[in-house]
Amino acid sequence: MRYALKKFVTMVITIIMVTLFVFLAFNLISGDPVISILGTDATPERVEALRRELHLDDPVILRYFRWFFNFMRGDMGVSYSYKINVRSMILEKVPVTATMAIMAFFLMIIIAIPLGIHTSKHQGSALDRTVIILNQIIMSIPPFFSGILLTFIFGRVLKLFTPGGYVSYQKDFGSFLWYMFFPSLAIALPKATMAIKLLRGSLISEYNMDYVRTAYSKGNSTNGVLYGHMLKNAILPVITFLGMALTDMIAGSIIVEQVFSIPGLGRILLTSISNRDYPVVLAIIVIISAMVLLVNMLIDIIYSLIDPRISFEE
Amino acid sequence: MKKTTQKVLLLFALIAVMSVALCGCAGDKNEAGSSITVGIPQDLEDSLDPHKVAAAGTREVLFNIFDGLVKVDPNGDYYPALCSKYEISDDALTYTFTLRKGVKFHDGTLVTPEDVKYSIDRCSVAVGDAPLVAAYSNVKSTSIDDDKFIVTLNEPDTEFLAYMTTAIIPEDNPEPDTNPIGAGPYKFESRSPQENFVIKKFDDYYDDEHEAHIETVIFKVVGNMDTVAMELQSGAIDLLPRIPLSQAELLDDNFTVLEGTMNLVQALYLNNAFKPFDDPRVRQALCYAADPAEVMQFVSDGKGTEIGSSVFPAFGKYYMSELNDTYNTDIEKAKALLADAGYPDGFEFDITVPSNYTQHVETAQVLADEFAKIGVKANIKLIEWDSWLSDVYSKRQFESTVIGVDASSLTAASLLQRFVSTDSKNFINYNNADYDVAFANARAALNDAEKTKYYKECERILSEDAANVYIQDLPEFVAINNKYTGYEFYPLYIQDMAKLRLAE
Repeated sequence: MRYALKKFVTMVITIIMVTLFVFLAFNLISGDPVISILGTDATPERVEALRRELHLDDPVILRYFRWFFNFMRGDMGVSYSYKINVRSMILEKVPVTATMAIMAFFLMIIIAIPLGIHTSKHQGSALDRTVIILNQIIMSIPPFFSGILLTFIFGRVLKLFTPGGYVSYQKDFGSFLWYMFFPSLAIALPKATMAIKLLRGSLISEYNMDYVRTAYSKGNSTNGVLYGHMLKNAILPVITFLGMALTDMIAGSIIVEQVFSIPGLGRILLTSISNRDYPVVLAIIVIISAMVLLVNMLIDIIYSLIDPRISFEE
Repeated sequence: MKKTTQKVLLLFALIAVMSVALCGCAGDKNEAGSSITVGIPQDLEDSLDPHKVAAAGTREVLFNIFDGLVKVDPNGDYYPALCSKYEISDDALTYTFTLRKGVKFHDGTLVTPEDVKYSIDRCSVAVGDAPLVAAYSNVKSTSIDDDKFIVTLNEPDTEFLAYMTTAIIPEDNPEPDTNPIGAGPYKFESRSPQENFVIKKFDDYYDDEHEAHIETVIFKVVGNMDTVAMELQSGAIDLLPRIPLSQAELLDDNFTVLEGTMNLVQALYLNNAFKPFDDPRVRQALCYAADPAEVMQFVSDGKGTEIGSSVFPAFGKYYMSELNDTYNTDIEKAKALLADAGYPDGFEFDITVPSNYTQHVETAQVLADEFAKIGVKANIKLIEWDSWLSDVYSKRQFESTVIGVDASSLTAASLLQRFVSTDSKNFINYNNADYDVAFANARAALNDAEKTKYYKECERILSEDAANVYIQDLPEFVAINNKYTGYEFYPLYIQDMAKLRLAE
């Protein structure tokens, strides 16, 4: 309990630091939300009037605290450019990005764990060698490029999905999931290759351990030793990696959303940054940092479930 | 120990179930019927209040939702819309509009003379020195007389009709920013940020001649213009205005690519207050060094229309093609002018270009090469669009920039007013007493021939004084699926969906 509380407090402080940093950063870069709203029609008087209306003439610190307390009360403000309530605008998009990250995560596991185990068991086999070569290639392809390749192969050549034909989850959840499968794959592949490499290496080093010999001598079959004893030990470093990969995937989804024309949090974030739409940018950053921190916490919990030697109360 | 194994197995089972579920669902096609998906490169990141809209990209979509007292047609002529007829007094001081009866807003309420007065007055209220519609600073009063709406001006203005396209909106709409209600051929249906903007045909539209044909129009935000041909081919988009030429070339026979113009004055705009651009000889030297034909060849395969002053060809009688020849590329002359101005060895300056506009960036690159031939070194500085708006346009902190300037209405003033030395939109700090006089004369003239003469004088001054290095009106390509027909180009930023039909 104390551990959870401590984690939670650290998390809140981290998020506050992040928002403060973003707030200050926006004051350093050029560009002005008021001018981006008024466009080329801006006259000095209209700029002044709107600046007052949005309280942009107040000192940074005052603005930050005003934003902070409103946020704490659940009021995320109104988007400068869209004039829509930020909360409803973002809540509509969270499922899109979250689905993509979660799907990518599971795809990574589906691909990596069986292949990792198999290749470690059959070192030097044809499959093992193929996987190693493919690994090297895929690992060096950034997700946005694998996104373009996937769009071309599955969308244009095999016609399994319509490039750019994103379907909203509110309209048709099935089609939505199907469309999200491909961008998720684009994010999952490079991470999966690293996970395979890691798991394979980790398992191979376990084969020479004393406990493995003991397990064999007790009459276990190869599979019994592998799944009953070795995997548990070998998987710990992989889980650390999977956790890091998930947080990476949340961030990586921003770029892949661009490639696949998916209107998720990433797209909103990018346009809001260029419009200097602070309320939206801050809200999205809070959500993304919260996601990342939650994932880290989750990894800690999974650790202690798999390996009782690691406990919460550290 | 057993337990963990079970957990791991359970995890695999879950994943397996999930992957089966994923493969089970195939994509759906859009339902048949009259709907069209139109790709737009940028979302409507804006208020939907027609009087507050800033972005041209929002304005061109909202054109379908709102009608004004008069409307513009593809030829650039104004026809009565919410009024049945209009009269302009001989002294060009009083505009009288006879309102149509029984016209409905999208919410079913009638368009009343009070709504008309409210809408026009709303745009006349000044914030600081200028009202929402700058030309309305000339409005003295508005009044209602039975079914007539009368606008009285302070100064005579024969071009004022062009500003009466202002959207008429109901006075009692509580949320004009997010729930637009107008009297146009389409009504607002829904919007999802960065995803789409949907409008539906308005069945009670008053004007049978201009009513909509296609039931639903979905404006879909295109995330990636570099793969847009794929989206068109796959049927995710049916119509795409402003498609890049490289993408248009990839389309097959199911598409028609129409060619029009963007209706922009693309130029290397020079900050006339920045030394050495305060010297007309230096500006002229750059004009002699620049070759618009080479730019057009590089940027758009030789398509585009050369311009020599701040008016583009869609302005018909105001456009002066002879000004294209004020400066024909002449390196020797350019060098001589530079030497004369005290820069025999050239000089160095920055061209600030918004990075999101490929055509402008490419234009700057060609120009920089051309200027190198006369010993002038141009450094290209790419900045974000938002920084361009604030630093270059608003604060005027720049040396030169390549951009396309559009017209907000079809009056010569909308393009030429900004070069009056005191104008708030004079971002190049142009300062020429002769120009100010010519422009004032044009505004004051009641007779059309005289007015045109003075406006042409303005254009000639801009050209001969080399206010800017004028390049071209960019070509615009529109890709349309052959299932649809009827797309029309307008001389302004307008995407008129009511003209579209299903092909036979």
